Amino acid sequence: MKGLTRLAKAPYVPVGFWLGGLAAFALLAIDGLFVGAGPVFVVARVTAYVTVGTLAAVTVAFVAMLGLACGAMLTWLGEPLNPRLIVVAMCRSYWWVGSYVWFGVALLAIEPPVALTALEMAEPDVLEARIGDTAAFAWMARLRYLALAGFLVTASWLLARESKPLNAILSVAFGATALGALTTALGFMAGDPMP
Amino acid sequence: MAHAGSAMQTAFGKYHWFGNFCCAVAVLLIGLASGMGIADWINSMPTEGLPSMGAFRPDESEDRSSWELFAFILRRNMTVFVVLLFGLVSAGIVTVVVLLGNGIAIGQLIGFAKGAGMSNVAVANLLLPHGVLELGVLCVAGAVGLQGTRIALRLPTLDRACLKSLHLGLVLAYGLASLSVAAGIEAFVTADYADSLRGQS
Repeated sequence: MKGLTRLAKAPYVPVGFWLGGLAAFALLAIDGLFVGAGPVFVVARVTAYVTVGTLAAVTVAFVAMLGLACGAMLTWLGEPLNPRLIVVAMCRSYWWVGSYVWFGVALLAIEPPVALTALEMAEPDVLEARIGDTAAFAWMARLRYLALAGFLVTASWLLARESKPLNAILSVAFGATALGALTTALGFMAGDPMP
Repeated sequence: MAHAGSAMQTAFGKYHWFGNFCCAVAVLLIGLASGMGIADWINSMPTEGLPSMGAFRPDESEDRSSWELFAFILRRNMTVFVVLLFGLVSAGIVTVVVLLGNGIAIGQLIGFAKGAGMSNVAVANLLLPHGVLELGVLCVAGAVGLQGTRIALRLPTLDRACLKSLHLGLVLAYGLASLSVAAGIEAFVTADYADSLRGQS
Protein backbone atom coordinates (compact mmCIF):
# COMPACT_ATOMS: atom_id res chain seq x y z
CA MET A 1 0.00 0.00 0.00
CA LYS A 2 2.88 2.34 0.89
CA GLY A 3 4.55 1.44 -2.40
CA LEU A 4 1.38 2.28 -4.31
CA THR A 5 1.09 5.63 -2.52
CA ARG A 6 4.72 6.41 -3.29
CA LEU A 7 4.12 5.47 -6.94
CA ALA A 8 1.07 7.73 -7.10
CA LYS A 9 3.15 10.61 -5.73
CA ALA A 10 6.10 10.08 -8.11
CA PRO A 11 6.17 13.06 -10.50
CA TYR A 12 6.89 11.34 -13.81
CA VAL A 13 4.63 8.28 -13.38
CA PRO A 14 1.45 10.22 -14.34
CA VAL A 15 3.16 11.48 -17.51
CA GLY A 16 4.08 7.90 -18.42
CA PHE A 17 0.52 6.82 -17.56
CA TRP A 18 -0.84 9.44 -19.98
CA LEU A 19 1.68 8.59 -22.71
CA GLY A 20 0.90 4.87 -22.40
CA GLY A 21 -2.82 5.61 -22.62
CA LEU A 22 -2.35 7.88 -25.61
CA ALA A 23 -0.31 5.22 -27.41
CA ALA A 24 -2.96 2.56 -26.68
CA PHE A 25 -5.77 4.91 -27.74
CA ALA A 26 -3.99 5.83 -30.98
CA LEU A 27 -3.31 2.17 -31.74
CA LEU A 28 -6.95 1.13 -31.19
CA ALA A 29 -8.46 4.14 -32.95
CA ILE A 30 -6.15 4.33 -35.96
CA ASP A 31 -5.87 0.59 -36.56
CA GLY A 32 -9.64 0.33 -36.02
CA LEU A 33 -10.56 3.03 -38.54
CA PHE A 34 -7.97 2.36 -41.22
CA VAL A 35 -7.94 -1.43 -41.62
CA GLY A 36 -6.40 -2.69 -44.84
CA ALA A 37 -3.15 -3.40 -46.60
CA GLY A 38 -3.74 -1.02 -49.52
CA PRO A 39 -1.67 2.12 -50.10
CA VAL A 40 -4.52 4.46 -49.09
CA PHE A 41 -4.82 2.83 -45.66
CA VAL A 42 -1.05 2.80 -45.11
CA VAL A 43 -0.81 6.52 -45.94
CA ALA A 44 -3.74 7.23 -43.59
CA ARG A 45 -2.15 5.21 -40.76
CA VAL A 46 1.30 6.80 -41.17
CA THR A 47 -0.23 10.31 -41.28
CA ALA A 48 -2.38 9.62 -38.22
CA TYR A 49 0.53 8.20 -36.17
CA VAL A 50 2.78 11.16 -37.06
CA THR A 51 -0.07 13.51 -36.08
CA VAL A 52 -0.53 11.77 -32.71
CA GLY A 53 3.24 11.95 -32.05
CA THR A 54 3.28 15.66 -32.83
CA LEU A 55 0.18 16.20 -30.69
CA ALA A 56 1.78 14.43 -27.71
CA ALA A 57 4.99 16.51 -28.00
CA VAL A 58 3.06 19.78 -28.38
CA THR A 59 0.92 18.89 -25.34
CA VAL A 60 4.09 18.47 -23.27
CA ALA A 61 5.24 21.91 -24.47
CA PHE A 62 1.86 23.47 -23.64
CA VAL A 63 1.97 22.07 -20.10
CA ALA A 64 5.54 23.34 -19.73
CA MET A 65 4.32 26.78 -20.81
CA LEU A 66 1.43 26.55 -18.35
CA GLY A 67 4.00 25.84 -15.63
CA LEU A 68 6.16 28.76 -16.74
CA ALA A 69 3.17 31.12 -16.74
CA CYS A 70 2.12 29.90 -13.27
CA GLY A 71 5.68 30.43 -12.01
CA ALA A 72 5.81 33.93 -13.48
CA MET A 73 2.47 34.87 -11.92
CA LEU A 74 3.42 33.41 -8.52
CA THR A 75 6.67 35.41 -8.57
CA TRP A 76 4.76 38.56 -9.53
CA LEU A 77 2.37 37.94 -6.62
CA GLY A 78 5.36 37.81 -4.28
CA GLU A 79 5.46 34.07 -3.61
CA PRO A 80 8.89 32.38 -3.33
CA LEU A 81 9.72 30.66 -6.63
CA ASN A 82 10.07 26.87 -6.33
CA PRO A 83 10.63 25.33 -9.80
CA ARG A 84 10.49 21.80 -8.41
CA LEU A 85 7.04 22.41 -6.90
CA ILE A 86 5.75 23.69 -10.26
CA VAL A 87 7.20 20.70 -12.15
CA VAL A 88 5.69 18.28 -9.62
CA ALA A 89 2.31 20.06 -9.75
CA MET A 90 2.18 19.92 -13.55
CA CYS A 91 3.33 16.30 -13.72
CA ARG A 92 0.96 15.01 -11.04
CA SER A 93 -1.97 16.78 -12.64
CA TYR A 94 -1.44 14.43 -15.60
CA TRP A 95 -3.37 11.79 -13.61
CA TRP A 96 -6.52 13.50 -14.91
CA VAL A 97 -5.65 13.47 -18.60
CA GLY A 98 -4.13 10.01 -18.19
CA SER A 99 -7.36 8.67 -16.68
CA TYR A 100 -9.34 10.44 -19.42
CA VAL A 101 -7.29 8.77 -22.16
CA TRP A 102 -7.45 5.33 -20.50
CA PHE A 103 -11.24 5.74 -20.20
CA GLY A 104 -11.26 6.26 -23.96
CA VAL A 105 -9.12 3.14 -24.39
CA ALA A 106 -11.65 1.11 -22.36
CA LEU A 107 -14.53 2.46 -24.46
CA LEU A 108 -12.69 1.68 -27.70
CA ALA A 109 -11.93 -1.83 -26.45
CA ILE A 110 -15.64 -2.37 -25.70
CA GLU A 111 -16.89 -0.84 -28.94
CA PRO A 112 -14.18 -0.49 -31.59
CA PRO A 113 -14.81 1.91 -34.49
CA VAL A 114 -16.21 0.53 -37.74
CA ALA A 115 -13.41 0.43 -40.32
CA LEU A 116 -13.59 2.71 -43.35
CA THR A 117 -13.69 1.10 -46.78
CA ALA A 118 -11.44 2.24 -49.65
CA LEU A 119 -14.41 4.00 -51.29
CA GLU A 120 -15.31 5.78 -48.04
CA MET A 121 -11.70 7.01 -47.73
CA ALA A 122 -12.29 9.18 -50.81
CA GLU A 123 -15.11 11.08 -49.05
CA PRO A 124 -13.78 13.64 -46.54
CA ASP A 125 -17.09 13.83 -44.64
CA VAL A 126 -17.32 10.10 -43.98
CA LEU A 127 -14.38 10.05 -41.53
CA GLU A 128 -15.95 12.90 -39.55
CA ALA A 129 -19.32 11.11 -39.51
CA ARG A 130 -17.68 7.82 -38.45
CA ILE A 131 -15.89 9.56 -35.58
CA GLY A 132 -19.22 11.11 -34.51
CA ASP A 133 -20.93 7.71 -34.63
CA THR A 134 -18.32 5.97 -32.45
CA ALA A 135 -19.30 6.07 -28.75
CA ALA A 136 -15.70 6.35 -27.52
CA PHE A 137 -14.96 9.47 -29.57
CA ALA A 138 -18.32 11.04 -28.65
CA TRP A 139 -17.65 10.45 -24.92
CA MET A 140 -14.09 11.74 -25.24
CA ALA A 141 -15.41 14.94 -26.80
CA ARG A 142 -17.92 15.35 -23.94
CA LEU A 143 -15.43 14.66 -21.15
CA ARG A 144 -12.47 16.71 -22.38
CA TYR A 145 -13.45 19.80 -20.39
CA LEU A 146 -13.85 17.69 -17.24
CA ALA A 147 -10.30 16.35 -17.70
CA LEU A 148 -9.00 19.87 -18.30
CA ALA A 149 -10.84 21.23 -15.25
CA GLY A 150 -9.51 18.36 -13.11
CA PHE A 151 -5.99 19.09 -14.37
CA LEU A 152 -6.22 22.79 -13.48
CA VAL A 153 -7.86 22.20 -10.07
CA THR A 154 -5.21 19.61 -9.13
CA ALA A 155 -2.43 21.97 -10.25
CA SER A 156 -3.93 24.78 -8.13
CA TRP A 157 -4.31 22.47 -5.13
CA LEU A 158 -0.70 21.27 -5.36
CA LEU A 159 0.65 24.81 -5.81
CA ALA A 160 -1.44 25.98 -2.83
CA ARG A 161 0.58 23.71 -0.55
CA GLU A 162 3.50 26.15 -0.59
CA SER A 163 1.75 29.39 -1.48
CA LYS A 164 -1.47 31.19 -0.57
CA PRO A 165 -4.48 29.34 -2.07
CA LEU A 166 -5.81 32.45 -3.80
CA ASN A 167 -2.39 33.15 -5.36
CA ALA A 168 -2.17 29.54 -6.54
CA ILE A 169 -5.63 29.76 -8.13
CA LEU A 170 -4.77 33.12 -9.72
CA SER A 171 -1.50 31.78 -11.13
CA VAL A 172 -3.22 28.73 -12.69
CA ALA A 173 -6.01 30.93 -14.06
CA PHE A 174 -3.41 33.23 -15.59
CA GLY A 175 -1.51 30.25 -17.05
CA ALA A 176 -4.70 28.77 -18.51
CA THR A 177 -5.69 32.14 -20.03
CA ALA A 178 -2.22 32.67 -21.52
CA LEU A 179 -2.28 29.15 -22.96
CA GLY A 180 -5.79 29.71 -24.33
CA ALA A 181 -4.61 32.89 -26.05
CA LEU A 182 -1.59 31.06 -27.49
CA THR A 183 -3.65 28.13 -28.84
CA THR A 184 -6.20 30.56 -30.30
CA ALA A 185 -3.42 32.51 -32.03
CA LEU A 186 -1.88 29.30 -33.36
CA GLY A 187 -5.29 28.08 -34.53
CA PHE A 188 -5.83 31.38 -36.32
CA MET A 189 -2.42 31.15 -37.96
CA ALA A 190 -2.85 27.55 -39.04
CA GLY A 191 -6.48 28.02 -40.17
CA ASP A 192 -7.40 27.96 -43.83
CA PRO A 193 -8.29 31.52 -44.93
CA MET A 194 -10.61 30.16 -47.62
CA PRO A 195 -14.32 30.18 -46.63
CA MET B 1 28.16 37.06 -10.90
CA ALA B 2 29.20 38.77 -14.15
CA HIS B 3 31.47 35.84 -14.83
CA ALA B 4 28.62 33.36 -14.29
CA GLY B 5 26.42 35.42 -16.62
CA SER B 6 29.02 35.40 -19.39
CA ALA B 7 29.55 31.67 -18.94
CA MET B 8 25.82 31.12 -19.43
CA GLN B 9 25.85 33.41 -22.47
CA THR B 10 28.55 31.22 -23.93
CA ALA B 11 26.34 28.20 -23.20
CA PHE B 12 23.71 29.57 -25.60
CA GLY B 13 26.20 31.53 -27.66
CA LYS B 14 27.35 31.26 -31.24
CA TYR B 15 29.51 28.18 -30.69
CA HIS B 16 26.44 26.02 -30.03
CA TRP B 17 24.22 27.41 -32.80
CA PHE B 18 26.07 25.71 -35.64
CA GLY B 19 26.03 22.33 -33.87
CA ASN B 20 22.31 22.67 -33.19
CA PHE B 21 21.67 23.74 -36.79
CA CYS B 22 23.53 20.62 -38.01
CA CYS B 23 21.44 18.47 -35.62
CA ALA B 24 18.22 20.06 -36.95
CA VAL B 25 19.32 19.42 -40.56
CA ALA B 26 20.21 15.82 -39.66
CA VAL B 27 16.79 15.20 -38.04
CA LEU B 28 15.04 16.69 -41.09
CA LEU B 29 17.13 14.51 -43.43
CA ILE B 30 16.34 11.39 -41.39
CA GLY B 31 12.64 12.25 -41.73
CA LEU B 32 13.09 12.90 -45.43
CA ALA B 33 14.79 9.55 -45.99
CA SER B 34 12.09 7.78 -43.91
CA GLY B 35 9.34 9.51 -45.89
CA MET B 36 10.91 8.49 -49.20
CA GLY B 37 11.28 4.94 -47.89
CA ILE B 38 7.61 4.85 -46.87
CA ALA B 39 6.58 6.25 -50.27
CA ASP B 40 8.68 3.62 -52.09
CA TRP B 41 7.11 0.91 -49.94
CA ILE B 42 3.60 2.23 -50.68
CA ASN B 43 4.38 2.62 -54.40
CA SER B 44 5.37 -1.04 -54.52
CA MET B 45 1.93 -2.14 -53.22
CA PRO B 46 -0.78 -3.47 -55.53
CA THR B 47 -3.49 -0.86 -56.27
CA GLU B 48 -6.34 -3.09 -57.45
CA GLY B 49 -9.72 -2.43 -55.87
CA LEU B 50 -9.01 1.21 -55.14
CA PRO B 51 -11.24 4.08 -56.28
CA SER B 52 -9.99 6.10 -59.26
CA MET B 53 -7.78 9.09 -58.47
CA GLY B 54 -10.50 11.36 -59.88
CA ALA B 55 -12.31 10.95 -56.59
CA PHE B 56 -9.34 12.45 -54.71
CA ARG B 57 -8.90 15.51 -56.95
CA PRO B 58 -9.61 18.80 -55.15
CA ASP B 59 -12.73 20.69 -56.05
CA GLU B 60 -12.04 23.20 -58.84
CA SER B 61 -13.99 25.83 -56.86
CA GLU B 62 -11.20 25.71 -54.25
CA ASP B 63 -8.68 27.29 -56.66
CA ARG B 64 -6.95 30.16 -54.89
CA SER B 65 -5.56 33.39 -56.26
CA SER B 66 -1.78 33.82 -55.89
CA TRP B 67 -2.18 36.26 -52.98
CA GLU B 68 -4.57 33.94 -51.13
CA LEU B 69 -2.10 31.11 -51.70
CA PHE B 70 0.72 33.34 -50.42
CA ALA B 71 -1.22 34.13 -47.21
CA PHE B 72 -2.17 30.47 -46.74
CA ILE B 73 1.41 29.22 -47.17
CA LEU B 74 2.89 31.95 -44.96
CA ARG B 75 0.43 31.24 -42.14
CA ARG B 76 1.03 27.50 -42.27
CA ASN B 77 4.81 27.90 -42.36
CA MET B 78 4.81 30.47 -39.55
CA THR B 79 2.78 28.05 -37.42
CA VAL B 80 5.40 25.34 -37.99
CA PHE B 81 8.15 27.89 -37.26
CA VAL B 82 6.55 28.91 -33.95
CA VAL B 83 5.82 25.30 -32.96
CA LEU B 84 9.49 24.44 -33.63
CA LEU B 85 10.44 27.09 -31.06
CA PHE B 86 8.31 25.22 -28.48
CA GLY B 87 11.34 22.96 -28.13
CA LEU B 88 12.70 25.66 -25.83
CA VAL B 89 10.15 24.71 -23.17
CA SER B 90 10.02 20.97 -23.85
CA ALA B 91 13.72 20.04 -23.78
CA GLY B 92 13.76 19.99 -27.59
CA ILE B 93 11.17 17.18 -27.83
CA VAL B 94 8.67 19.19 -29.89
CA THR B 95 11.42 20.36 -32.25
CA VAL B 96 12.65 16.84 -32.96
CA VAL B 97 9.11 15.47 -33.48
CA VAL B 98 7.99 18.35 -35.73
CA LEU B 99 11.19 18.31 -37.82
CA LEU B 100 10.89 14.54 -38.20
CA GLY B 101 7.19 14.82 -39.13
CA ASN B 102 7.87 17.53 -41.71
CA GLY B 103 10.78 15.54 -43.12
CA ILE B 104 8.53 12.47 -43.49
CA ALA B 105 5.83 14.56 -45.22
CA ILE B 106 8.30 16.09 -47.70
CA GLY B 107 9.99 12.72 -48.28
CA GLN B 108 6.60 11.13 -49.02
CA LEU B 109 5.78 13.97 -51.41
CA ILE B 110 9.04 13.46 -53.32
CA GLY B 111 8.61 9.67 -53.27
CA PHE B 112 5.04 9.81 -54.58
CA ALA B 113 5.97 12.37 -57.26
CA LYS B 114 8.78 10.13 -58.49
CA GLY B 115 6.49 7.10 -58.24
CA ALA B 116 3.97 8.91 -60.45
CA GLY B 117 6.65 9.27 -63.12
CA MET B 118 7.82 12.83 -62.48
CA SER B 119 11.42 13.45 -63.51
CA ASN B 120 14.11 14.42 -61.00
CA VAL B 121 14.48 17.80 -62.73
CA ALA B 122 10.74 18.52 -62.41
CA VAL B 123 10.76 17.55 -58.70
CA ALA B 124 13.83 19.76 -58.13
CA ASN B 125 12.19 22.65 -60.02
CA LEU B 126 9.09 22.30 -57.87
CA LEU B 127 10.87 22.10 -54.52
CA LEU B 128 14.23 23.86 -54.68
CA PRO B 129 13.30 27.51 -55.48
CA HIS B 130 11.32 27.97 -52.27
CA GLY B 131 12.39 24.83 -50.39
CA VAL B 132 16.02 25.83 -49.80
CA LEU B 133 14.97 29.03 -48.05
CA GLU B 134 11.91 27.55 -46.32
CA LEU B 135 13.64 24.46 -44.96
CA GLY B 136 16.72 26.51 -44.06
CA VAL B 137 14.56 28.83 -41.96
CA LEU B 138 12.79 25.87 -40.33
CA CYS B 139 16.20 24.40 -39.49
CA VAL B 140 17.22 27.73 -37.91
CA ALA B 141 14.05 27.53 -35.78
CA GLY B 142 15.00 23.91 -35.07
CA ALA B 143 18.45 25.03 -33.91
CA VAL B 144 16.81 27.47 -31.49
CA GLY B 145 14.30 24.85 -30.32
CA LEU B 146 17.07 22.33 -29.68
CA GLN B 147 18.59 24.80 -27.20
CA GLY B 148 15.73 23.54 -25.01
CA THR B 149 17.80 20.51 -24.05
CA ARG B 150 20.52 22.81 -22.72
CA ILE B 151 17.91 24.94 -20.94
CA ALA B 152 16.43 21.85 -19.28
CA LEU B 153 19.86 20.71 -18.12
CA ARG B 154 20.72 24.15 -16.71
CA LEU B 155 17.27 24.96 -15.31
CA PRO B 156 18.42 25.80 -11.75
CA THR B 157 21.06 28.30 -12.98
CA LEU B 158 19.00 30.03 -15.68
CA ASP B 159 19.01 33.81 -15.57
CA ARG B 160 17.73 36.74 -17.64
CA ALA B 161 21.06 37.21 -19.48
CA CYS B 162 21.03 33.60 -20.52
CA LEU B 163 17.49 33.82 -21.92
CA LYS B 164 18.36 37.09 -23.67
CA SER B 165 21.22 35.33 -25.44
CA LEU B 166 18.62 33.27 -27.32
CA HIS B 167 17.71 36.44 -29.34
CA LEU B 168 14.11 35.24 -29.79
CA GLY B 169 12.89 38.58 -31.19
CA LEU B 170 15.57 38.52 -33.88
CA VAL B 171 14.82 34.88 -34.68
CA LEU B 172 11.08 35.61 -35.07
CA ALA B 173 11.72 38.66 -37.27
CA TYR B 174 14.17 36.69 -39.42
CA GLY B 175 11.68 33.81 -39.67
CA LEU B 176 8.81 36.08 -40.72
CA ALA B 177 10.93 37.88 -43.34
CA SER B 178 12.47 34.73 -44.82
CA LEU B 179 9.24 32.72 -44.81
CA SER B 180 7.47 35.64 -46.53
CA VAL B 181 10.05 35.51 -49.34
CA ALA B 182 9.76 31.70 -49.53
CA ALA B 183 5.95 31.88 -49.59
CA GLY B 184 6.16 34.53 -52.32
CA ILE B 185 8.35 32.28 -54.46
CA GLU B 186 6.07 29.30 -53.83
CA ALA B 187 2.84 31.20 -54.58
CA PHE B 188 3.99 33.24 -57.57
CA VAL B 189 6.70 31.06 -59.19
CA THR B 190 6.36 27.42 -58.13
CA ALA B 191 2.54 27.41 -58.42
CA ASP B 192 2.77 28.60 -62.05
CA TYR B 193 5.34 25.91 -62.79
CA ALA B 194 3.08 23.29 -61.17
CA ASP B 195 0.17 24.52 -63.30
CA SER B 196 2.28 24.22 -66.45
CA LEU B 197 3.22 20.65 -65.44
CA ARG B 198 -0.48 19.85 -64.88
CA GLY B 199 -1.24 21.26 -68.33
CA GLN B 200 1.35 18.98 -69.91
CA SER B 201 0.01 15.81 -68.26
